[in-house]
Amino acid sequence: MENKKILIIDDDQAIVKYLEKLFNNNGYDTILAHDGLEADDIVKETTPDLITLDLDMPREWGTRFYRKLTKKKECKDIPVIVVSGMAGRDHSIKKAVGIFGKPFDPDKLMATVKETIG
Amino acid sequence: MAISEYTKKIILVDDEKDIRDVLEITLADMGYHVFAAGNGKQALELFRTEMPQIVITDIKMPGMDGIEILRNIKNENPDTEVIMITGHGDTDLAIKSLKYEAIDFITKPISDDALEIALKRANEKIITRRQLRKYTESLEKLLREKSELQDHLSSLGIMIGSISHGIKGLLTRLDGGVYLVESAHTNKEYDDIGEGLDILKETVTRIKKMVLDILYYAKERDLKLEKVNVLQFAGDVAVVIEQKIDDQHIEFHRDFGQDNIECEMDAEFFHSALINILDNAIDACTEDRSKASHKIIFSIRQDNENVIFEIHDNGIGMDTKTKENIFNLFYSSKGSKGTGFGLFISNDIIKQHRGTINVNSVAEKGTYFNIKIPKQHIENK
Ligand SMILES: Nc1ncnc2c1ncn2[C@@H]1O[C@H](COP(=O)(O)OP(=O)(O)OP(=O)(O)O)[C@@H](O)[C@H]1O
Ligand SMILES: [Mg+2]
Repeated sequence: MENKKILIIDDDQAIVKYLEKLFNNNGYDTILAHDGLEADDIVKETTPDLITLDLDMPREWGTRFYRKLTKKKECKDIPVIVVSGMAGRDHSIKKAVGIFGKPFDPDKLMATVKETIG
Repeated sequence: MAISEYTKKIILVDDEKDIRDVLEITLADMGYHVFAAGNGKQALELFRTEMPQIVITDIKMPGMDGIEILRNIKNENPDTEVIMITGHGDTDLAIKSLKYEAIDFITKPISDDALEIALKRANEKIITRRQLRKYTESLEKLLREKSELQDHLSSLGIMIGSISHGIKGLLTRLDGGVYLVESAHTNKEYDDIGEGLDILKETVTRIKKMVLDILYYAKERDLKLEKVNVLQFAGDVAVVIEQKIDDQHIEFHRDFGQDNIECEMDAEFFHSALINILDNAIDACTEDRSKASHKIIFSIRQDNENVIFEIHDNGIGMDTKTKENIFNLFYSSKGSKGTGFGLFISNDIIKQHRGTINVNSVAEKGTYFNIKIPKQHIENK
């Protein structure tokens, strides 16, 4: 069976690498984006099984990306987990399946991922 | 009794000498320092030189009458209390005087009791007014302090908000670095250890910078001025920047000239001011993917009074909105990579040196900073 795919969106290269390693070690494939615009291009071509999203990014804010994402009918059911230093201050990501502040607990994050996409 | 500046002065105005003499004795007995005047003109002259708190004046006098004296005095100093002396049947005048804010009136023949009561009123009014003024002043002071405190607190609030956001990101990077090293270890992918270590190293450097920025902001010490050899100083700055650029595809060019320049400055502070600007130039070049090669030029010139530092980069440049905000505390377009401390601090340091900082920038083309400080420090007036 093919591995589930997670799209990681964060402007901090180090955190992208961290999440990538964490997900790979737990048996998931990953696609990487460093801002909302890059992520936009990616979801045009592939449909990830889950997205982790940072909110505070230059060029395109996470919340705006999220709004655009949920308007596309083939994307609007992709579960989103917010992983952001700003988590808790923003209520516009209502339907996120999880909201994690930074620094996050990797075990809890993995638990949420497994619960959501198996 | 001894006349000190604390003895209360009274000006007594009456055209009848007998009445003046009697009242003067009574008032002196009560502890007042009395200045007597026989007519309005004399009274007003005395009023201006002696500046008494209380004036007692007959209401009916030839020439300038009591009402007119009252109006003049209230006009010149509304805080002066004026007691009117009225004769029998002067009710209309007495009422008129109250309208012009006489504190009280006493009728002839003047009894000591009536005089004392009127004076008591006047004194009470004076004391109340003084207290009221004191209250108002301290209230105003309190309000001022409160608004200062509020400003301070709200800027502290913004500060803590921004910093804690930055710190959260940095802590996550530390977690990430450690996780990558551990994971490389367990999976025996030893080549990957370097990746984790690089992240840890870079993050530690950034934490250091942030802590120093916060300390600068919290400390705000006075300048420690010293005579500095500018070429040597700029050389030290350049070395730090060259080390940072290291393997990136950015050319760093020193254009220092040959002049031996001496300048009075706080070398430690001014060093940070320039580093912050050069750091931004590196970021601007690193972020720019539209050009094949990048160049940062750091040059030094002098005119008669000033040393001029110039920093050119051909990085991403700035749009108008960014240009307007760069000196604001916590303004940053760099997401998790910037806190927005850098130029705020540079600007502050340059201002403390009585210098100027000017920016010219074109989006996608590059940025030019011009920093000018006097060679001889100019003291604050
Ligand atoms: N040389 C430059 N080219 C393009 N943009 C610049 C340049 N210098 C400054 N800026 C802009 O000004 C903003 C503020 O700069 P500043 O140094 O104050 O903060 P920062 O670099 O974002 O964060 P920090 O310095 O605290 O790490 C930057 O985010 C950037 O948008
Ligand atoms: Mg900076």
